[in-house]
Amino acid sequence: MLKSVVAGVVAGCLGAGAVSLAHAQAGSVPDDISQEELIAKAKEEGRLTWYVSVPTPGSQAAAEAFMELYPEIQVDIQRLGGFGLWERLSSEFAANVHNVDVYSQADFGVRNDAAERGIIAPYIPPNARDYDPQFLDPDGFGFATRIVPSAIAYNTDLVSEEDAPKTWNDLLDPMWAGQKIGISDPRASGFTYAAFWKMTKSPAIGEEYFEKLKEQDPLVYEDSGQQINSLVSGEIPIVVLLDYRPWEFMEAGAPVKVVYPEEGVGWGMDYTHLAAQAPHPYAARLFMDFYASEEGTRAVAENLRTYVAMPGIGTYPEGYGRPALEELNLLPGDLQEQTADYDRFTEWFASIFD
Amino acid sequence: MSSATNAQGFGWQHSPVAGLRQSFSNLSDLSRWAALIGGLAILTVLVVLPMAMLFYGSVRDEPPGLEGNFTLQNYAFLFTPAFGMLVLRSVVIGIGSTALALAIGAALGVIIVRTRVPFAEKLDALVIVPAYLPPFVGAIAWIVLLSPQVGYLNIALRSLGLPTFNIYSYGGIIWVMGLYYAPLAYLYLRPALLGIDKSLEESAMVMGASPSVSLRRIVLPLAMPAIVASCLVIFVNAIGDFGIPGVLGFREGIEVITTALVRLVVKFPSDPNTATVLGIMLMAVTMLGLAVNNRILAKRDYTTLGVRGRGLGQARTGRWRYLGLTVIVAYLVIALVLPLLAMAVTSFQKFPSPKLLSSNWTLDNYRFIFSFPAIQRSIVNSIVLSFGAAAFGTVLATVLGYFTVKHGGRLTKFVDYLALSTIAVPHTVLGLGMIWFWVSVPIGIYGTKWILLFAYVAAFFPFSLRAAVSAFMQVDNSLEEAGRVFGASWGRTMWKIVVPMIIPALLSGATMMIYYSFRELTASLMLYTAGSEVIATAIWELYSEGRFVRLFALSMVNVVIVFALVALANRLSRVGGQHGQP
Repeated sequence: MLKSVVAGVVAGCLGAGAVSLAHAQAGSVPDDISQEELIAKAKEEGRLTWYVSVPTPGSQAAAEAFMELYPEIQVDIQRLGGFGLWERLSSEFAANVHNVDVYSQADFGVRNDAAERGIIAPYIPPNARDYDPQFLDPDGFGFATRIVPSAIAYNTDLVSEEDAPKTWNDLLDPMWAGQKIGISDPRASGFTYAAFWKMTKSPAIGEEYFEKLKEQDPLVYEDSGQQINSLVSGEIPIVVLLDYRPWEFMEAGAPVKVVYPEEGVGWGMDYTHLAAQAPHPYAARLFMDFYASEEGTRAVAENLRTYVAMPGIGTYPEGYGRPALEELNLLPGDLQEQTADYDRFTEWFASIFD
Repeated sequence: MSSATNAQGFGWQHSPVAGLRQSFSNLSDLSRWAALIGGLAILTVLVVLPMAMLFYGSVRDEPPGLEGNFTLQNYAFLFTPAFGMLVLRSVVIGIGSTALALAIGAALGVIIVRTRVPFAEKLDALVIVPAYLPPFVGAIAWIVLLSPQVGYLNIALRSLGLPTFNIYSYGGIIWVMGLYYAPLAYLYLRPALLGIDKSLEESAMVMGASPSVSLRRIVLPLAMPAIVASCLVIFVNAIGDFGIPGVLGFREGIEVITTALVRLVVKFPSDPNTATVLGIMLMAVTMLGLAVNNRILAKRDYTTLGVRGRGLGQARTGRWRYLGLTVIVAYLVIALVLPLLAMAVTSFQKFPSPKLLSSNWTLDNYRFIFSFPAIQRSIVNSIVLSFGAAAFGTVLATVLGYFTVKHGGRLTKFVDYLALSTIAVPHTVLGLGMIWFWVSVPIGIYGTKWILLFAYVAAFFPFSLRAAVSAFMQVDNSLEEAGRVFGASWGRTMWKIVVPMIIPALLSGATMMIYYSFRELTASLMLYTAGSEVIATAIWELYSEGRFVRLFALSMVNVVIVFALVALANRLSRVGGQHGQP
């Protein structure tokens, strides 16, 4: 009896393994493939696996919109926030396990490692070729979907219209001294790092700005979820955070407003790459083409209240006066330089705020 | 959610049962050996190999699978001031929360077991309930209560002109841990307090000793081994806990060993090799703690096991009864009712706000919970995986427990030791070891629900083993011999005679495995993928996305399921004639 239970468990495990090995083959897609042929081959493959750090409401909606268009193709989402996903992908690749077809993540350093180790392959979908060039990978290893600026948000119950900060410098007013401001921790988020780094490189803001901001004794939120909840519940009056969070709460009636200072806003973006060893290369391309299209990006913009790289999508939530991405003063910054500067920047940041 | 949230009175070894061994000393019975070797093999795959992978990773300069070299560089981190600070913070929190949990647990124990408090039986079951909820959910609920400016309790305190509390502090972390580890202390002290023969106290009374003197002179010394054991286990749990310092420590920069470990794994640029070193250090500390515990318990047999004086509410302290009741009700209000109320209120809000007189109310959060596919999946997965782990663990425990008791011998002793040692493995470490091991074994375990099932079995299997061992110790060998005399095979004898006798104990072990698998967060967080979400990871995901109102709605669903499980377990244990704990 006991023996058969043990044997059954072992056999079950081995059986499950055999299935996953069966489809572990890579392949390459000719560049001049026709749309019809791509669709036909993708349907033949029948599925694809998307490793994605985009929060579930956005990634799920995009995958569902795709599956509605191509019901024959199943999208398996492997969603993990932060860098856990990269840890997993790189372990898999090292162990010669190739599950992933499309990989979306938000750190250029990860992109460098992945490109260097041959985990991702160059591919930019036709739709993405019209994007602002700064939203495309400089070497063709994919395209951006979410564009996430860092902005000021305040609680309108605690801060009057008149006192409300309009510029970065307004945060240095003595009125906001003493744990009144909560800033995101650039060491905890790739978007925040990218945004703050660009701010420190801007002549109008610079590293000195953060040094002065420290004098206000701000709280540093490692956890952006707690940060936005502290703002809406009235725990703190002002935050500097990734801008999409307050828009979502505003729609629920929370007393918050967002300010994109004129001196310019730092920003981060995510990247979608083609997996070099994609087990379903045709479905992978078809999905990337869709994800870079108006419909695919709209699913993300609408469900995550975020700006997207595709021009002309509009802003969400509608009717709340959110400016278009083109109206913002997005600060420039070289991606390679930004990535190479990570250790120095985070040490500098720690020396000021820790 | 941490290393050994599990541990509930595990001694490291069981009293030898030498007298029972010789009857089965002939080795001819192949099926017994097959079962033993099978059990050993499963244990090796579940625990030993993942841990071996971890040690290997700790002496490499790249994650396993990548080309790299052997190095001791990772261990250099142990000699940095940063590491010293991590240890110091972990130890401060460990000592503080242990002291608080012990004080609460001891008060609960003395009142429920040693006084004639009203409703003793009901309270006995109720005071354990806080331990069944995911502790980090408790931590988030306490933010709603004690957030410095807008926490409900702080608003109340401020309006009364009293000083307020800041939950984002060492005090806050210790407070929440102490509250939620107190039931663990109670579970340890309970059997010891029950075991003290009431006639000892009666004699003291007759001699004119006051209740406080008899408590100090009689109860305290007899309960001392249990007190020490509970302290060690709570300490080990507290320093292995990730969720509570993860939620409450960020604002004041209170980084401890576990939060640093998780950060090293999940934040880019990740450094899993250094993370393994942290994990190994954490494991070393917990092993040391449990070894000390073992040594202390081995020296003293503290159960007096008098025939009289068993049962709750024995000592005559009648006029204190209602004071005792007040203390217990206060604990239940603070650990259970207030946080549940805070959760319930917030779960019906559009966004978290202390303003109750507003139009900020909605049912959308519950609509979301019951319509979002990943969350529906997580509810099903949690139930299936926790019951599955309990079933798997119970079968394994029955096999290993049997040989531990009936066969003895060096090999069995080793297997037994190995099995129990998993409680010293912090779940952060377990998760990391399992990722590395299963990703390099391409048989499709990795990235599926199986890996979560294996993690739960590895982590909580000691509950079942402990239950099985104590059950087998009470089965008289002559019954088995009778079976053999009548020509029944070993397997048949086991199935027909022994198993029915031990089922109540096995059920209680399985129940604990279900509770703890159900609330496990840390290892799950490292191992789950889309499709294998569990409630704890779904809650954590909502937390990290900042969707607190939905998080509390899902937590309320979680609470309802846990209460249903508790009710079911109580019913089963009444049918089986056994109390719900080993």
